[in-house]
Amino acid sequence: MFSQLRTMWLVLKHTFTKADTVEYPEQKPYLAPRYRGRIVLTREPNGEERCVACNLCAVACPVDCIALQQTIDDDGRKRAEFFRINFSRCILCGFCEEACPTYAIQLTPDVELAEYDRQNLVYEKEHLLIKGVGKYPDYSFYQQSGIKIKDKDKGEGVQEKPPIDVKGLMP
Amino acid sequence: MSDDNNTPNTVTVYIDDQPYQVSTDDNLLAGVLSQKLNLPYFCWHPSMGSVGACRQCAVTQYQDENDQRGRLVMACTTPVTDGMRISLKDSQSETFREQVISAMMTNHPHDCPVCAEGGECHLQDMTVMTGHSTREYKGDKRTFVNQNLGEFVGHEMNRCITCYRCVRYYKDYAGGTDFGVYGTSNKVCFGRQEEGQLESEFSGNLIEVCPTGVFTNKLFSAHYTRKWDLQSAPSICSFCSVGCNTSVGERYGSVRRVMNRYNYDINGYFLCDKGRFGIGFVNGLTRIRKTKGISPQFPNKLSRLDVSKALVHFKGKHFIGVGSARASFEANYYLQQLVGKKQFSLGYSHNEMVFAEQHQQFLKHHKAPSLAEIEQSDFVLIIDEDITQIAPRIALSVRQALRNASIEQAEKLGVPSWQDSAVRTIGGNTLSPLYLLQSKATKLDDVAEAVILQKTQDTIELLHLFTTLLQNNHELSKLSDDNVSLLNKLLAAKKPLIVGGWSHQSSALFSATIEFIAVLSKAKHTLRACLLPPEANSIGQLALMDENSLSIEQVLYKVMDTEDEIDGLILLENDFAVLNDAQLNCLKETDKTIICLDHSDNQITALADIIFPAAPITESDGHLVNYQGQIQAFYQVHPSVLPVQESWRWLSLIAKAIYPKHALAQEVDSLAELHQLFFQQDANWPLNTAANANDAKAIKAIAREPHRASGRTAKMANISVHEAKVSQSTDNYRFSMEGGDLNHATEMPFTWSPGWNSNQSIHQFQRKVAGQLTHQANAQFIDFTDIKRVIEPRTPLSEHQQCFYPQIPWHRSGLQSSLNPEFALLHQVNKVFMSSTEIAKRQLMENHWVSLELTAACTGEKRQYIAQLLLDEKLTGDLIYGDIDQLPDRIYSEVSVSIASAQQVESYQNRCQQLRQKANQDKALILEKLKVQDAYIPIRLVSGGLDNA
Ligand code: SF4
Ligand code: SF4
Ligand code: SF4
Ligand code: SF4
Ligand code: FES
Repeated sequence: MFSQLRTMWLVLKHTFTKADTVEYPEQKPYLAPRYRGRIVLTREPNGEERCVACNLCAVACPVDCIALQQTIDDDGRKRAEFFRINFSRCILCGFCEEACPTYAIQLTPDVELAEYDRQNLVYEKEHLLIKGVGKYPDYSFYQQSGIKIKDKDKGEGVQEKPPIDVKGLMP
Repeated sequence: MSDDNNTPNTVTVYIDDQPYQVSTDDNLLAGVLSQKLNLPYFCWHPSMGSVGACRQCAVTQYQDENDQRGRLVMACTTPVTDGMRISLKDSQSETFREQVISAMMTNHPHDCPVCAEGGECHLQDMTVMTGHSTREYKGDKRTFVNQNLGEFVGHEMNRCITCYRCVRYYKDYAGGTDFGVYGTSNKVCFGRQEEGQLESEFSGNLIEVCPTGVFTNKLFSAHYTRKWDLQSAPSICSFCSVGCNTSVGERYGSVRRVMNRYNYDINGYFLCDKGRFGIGFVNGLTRIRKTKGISPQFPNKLSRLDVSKALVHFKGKHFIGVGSARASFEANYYLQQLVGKKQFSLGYSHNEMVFAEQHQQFLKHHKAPSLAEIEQSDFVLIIDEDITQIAPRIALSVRQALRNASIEQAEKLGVPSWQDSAVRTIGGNTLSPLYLLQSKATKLDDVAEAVILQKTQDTIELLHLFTTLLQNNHELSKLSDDNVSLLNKLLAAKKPLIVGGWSHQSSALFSATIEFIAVLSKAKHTLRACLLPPEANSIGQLALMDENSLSIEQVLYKVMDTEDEIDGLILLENDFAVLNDAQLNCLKETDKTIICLDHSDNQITALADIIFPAAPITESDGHLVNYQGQIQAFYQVHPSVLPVQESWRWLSLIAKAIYPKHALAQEVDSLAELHQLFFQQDANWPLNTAANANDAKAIKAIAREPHRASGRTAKMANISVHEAKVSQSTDNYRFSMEGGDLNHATEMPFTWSPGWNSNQSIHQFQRKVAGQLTHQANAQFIDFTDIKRVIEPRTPLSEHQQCFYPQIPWHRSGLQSSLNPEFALLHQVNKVFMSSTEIAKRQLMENHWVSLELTAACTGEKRQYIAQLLLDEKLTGDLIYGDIDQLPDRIYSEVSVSIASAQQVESYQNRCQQLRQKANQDKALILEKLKVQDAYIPIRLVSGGLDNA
């Protein structure tokens, strides 16, 4: 008897509390910057593509919805010849972002991925690549790596000594 | 390498208190790995033994059960003894191993994402295995400038961990001279003295030998994909008669690379550069992808009906079939059966038929040794054959055989053969004797005890002399010192080996060689001999040859003859390279129908009325027969894009249209069905499919892709977001990442095992390290003793006095080589070598440019070339040899040499320049085309033939 009265009281009380749900889509909820939504490919601070087409995101993807092909450009940088995400399969798990060694691939708080035609959920590199750096403003993989690219010769990277003179006799 | 897999020299070793039976033939590291336990290592290599350079393989060894402290030992330099107790798991050795990696990581670049080794990197594997997860060193890293090592091998010196494997492989194992280690202390660098193309024919193995990404495959890197994404199939190298086992990988429908596929008896751990880097021919610019002479009802979709309609008016007509030694064994047999033995040619000229007939007889009496057996020889005689160019992998094995003298010396002192540096110190320059009887300088000269450089005629006489001496025991007075010691050492050797072959084109020399071997093998039962045929399936051809087989000359005669009722030719993957210009013109003028099955354009497809696009080796199932007569299977790496299909599928369509009454005119949907059909018609058909089919049922079909291949739901999504079904294969391997256990495959598409991502994982699949594979299929050989009939040998053409001996390098032989632009770039400059007396006699000057006019013996065709004249000090008399680009492989009976004018030289150099430019353009073009193709993967549901799509 008492418990029934208590239940009714609680239900009544809720009539006066503020609702947690919002009137979507008229009203948009706040999603944190680290929310896992639509995936983008970002750029280095100097505007170069970050993705080196290493295939780690693709292999980490549990639904295998990322496919790409590497190419080496004249400037010595490796880039994706094509980069495709099939969002109709993507489960927005964020594994690709975690696997990415260059901070290229990032998930964004845009969750509005709805299309009448599933085919339109297939995104190519041109759809994925954004102009900015995303969540990581400073990182440039090539400065950390040992390979030579245009404008960064051997020994000019971060934490690198100048190249060794093989003919030198000094110990 | 220990030769035997089953030696019972095993003792009990306690590893972490568990008893294991370990062989004493090899070191402790090999013993531990043979038990399928994980122990990290770098510098030790199963084929190259131990040097103890990297300190990675440390384990703790205990005196006895009561010893608690133990001491660290390097497993790779520790012999296995009875009752020894070691631990892999104790914290002392674990920490040590982890710290070794930590030290290696101080200078290691942050490269994995852009490193072509990533995902199959032994260093990555070992780092994970030791549990070293975070770089401890925070200081600055050492860097190096890279070298350009030529067309094939990339160099990224920063990644080196100084294990010394590369230099040990390149110099000590493969006998290369243009590679070394330079610098001092912590700054050693591995490479060439100066930039340039690596000269060794075996340079590609550096890629697999180096445990890091210092040496990578340039051709693969240009169109790269990770190992985990490669769809691979077990294949056989189609470039020479050795038949090395390869694993070919593809992605998005195009072939990416070739890796070694371990086979104890044949290639072991190593391939030659031709096999590894030559596979690009399947992506060549001149691939045939459409039929000619057939009009399909629906464009872009050729059906079986279209083919039979186009061929129907040939029903009952007489065709001559010409097979080839680059087509599969099945296809040749099929064609022979269809056209009838009397209308079948193996594709050999008259001269080659003389070789073929003698070779077939020879194989009845002499079983050719495997490469593993060759490596045990203690005396080698090579008769006028440049094996480094003809069958490169055999030359590598011969080099190993020569080490047996020093291994024996070391063993006398109690040093086991796996103690590599000790053996090399004891042995010094001691080599087992190698004698070369030859007409031109070869790459093996530097390790030969004697190089006897003479004309073919002199070699023939010498062999005759040897033969008579052996028969009648005459004194050796007629012989020169070199020849006396040759014969004495040959007779004294325990396991002598004689190698000959077809490439000298002299049937008299060939029969003299066979006679010598026959006589000698009576005196010496341990003698092993092999004759090297020119192509991948040459011996398979010999199995089909009988007294009716036509030579090319006979074929042409029949085609030209108006009396003969021949309506046309069916050419099976034969580009008629043996034809001279006059013969080719005859064919041009004939009005007979020419039907071609081939994978790339060539001089004959240009004349063909009907062309069927045949699948090259990477898109076919079939078999090839190697120099020993071993029948080896190759499998499709990816389904071919219709209308390209395997030759035997085309032949079955041709059979139904042209020979509808023939017993083999049946629809076949898989190779197994084809074998079944052959077997029903011919009990002698050597591939017993009934037995194979049972095997196949016992094993679940194996996946061609690794289980973590990526991109399944995206790679075709641009074509349709609705995923296509995976193609159904018609053989025992699936075009999928799902399938039976790799461990049960008799032929593994790739090697991988948990924790071992690189090709070094192979020891997880061997009975013991460097031994037979656990699931090695029984090798199947063609039994030539079964062939009872003796062919009345045809009379050889009269031998021409040869006066110019062309050197034909490995990268310039056959159609398939010529389709690789990288190979064309290897040619430096035309060279001709003469003796000093000859140079003086002809009033020429050494190191000058000369103009060379060569007359082909059989036709009198004259050709002119510009070359650099060089002096060979070993040469005597008027012997002339040389390396001339684009020189047809003929016998040249006349040569006139004159100083070239400045103008001639300039125009030659311009031509060379143009050829190089063209090759570079082709390279870029091919890559461009492949990249376009990547984005549009042809979807096929069944890998079968037409109408099966
Ligand atoms: S993991 Fe990052 S760098 Fe590598 S392919 Fe994916 S997006 Fe590109
Ligand atoms: S060699 Fe191995 S560990 Fe080093 S960068 Fe390459 S993949 Fe990474
Ligand atoms: S280049 Fe490779 S094989 Fe040679 S020492 Fe360095 S890591 Fe070892
Ligand atoms: S030796 Fe012959 S079969 Fe072996 S890889 Fe080289 S070309 Fe191919
Ligand atoms: S593998 Fe034993 S020391 Fe290198």
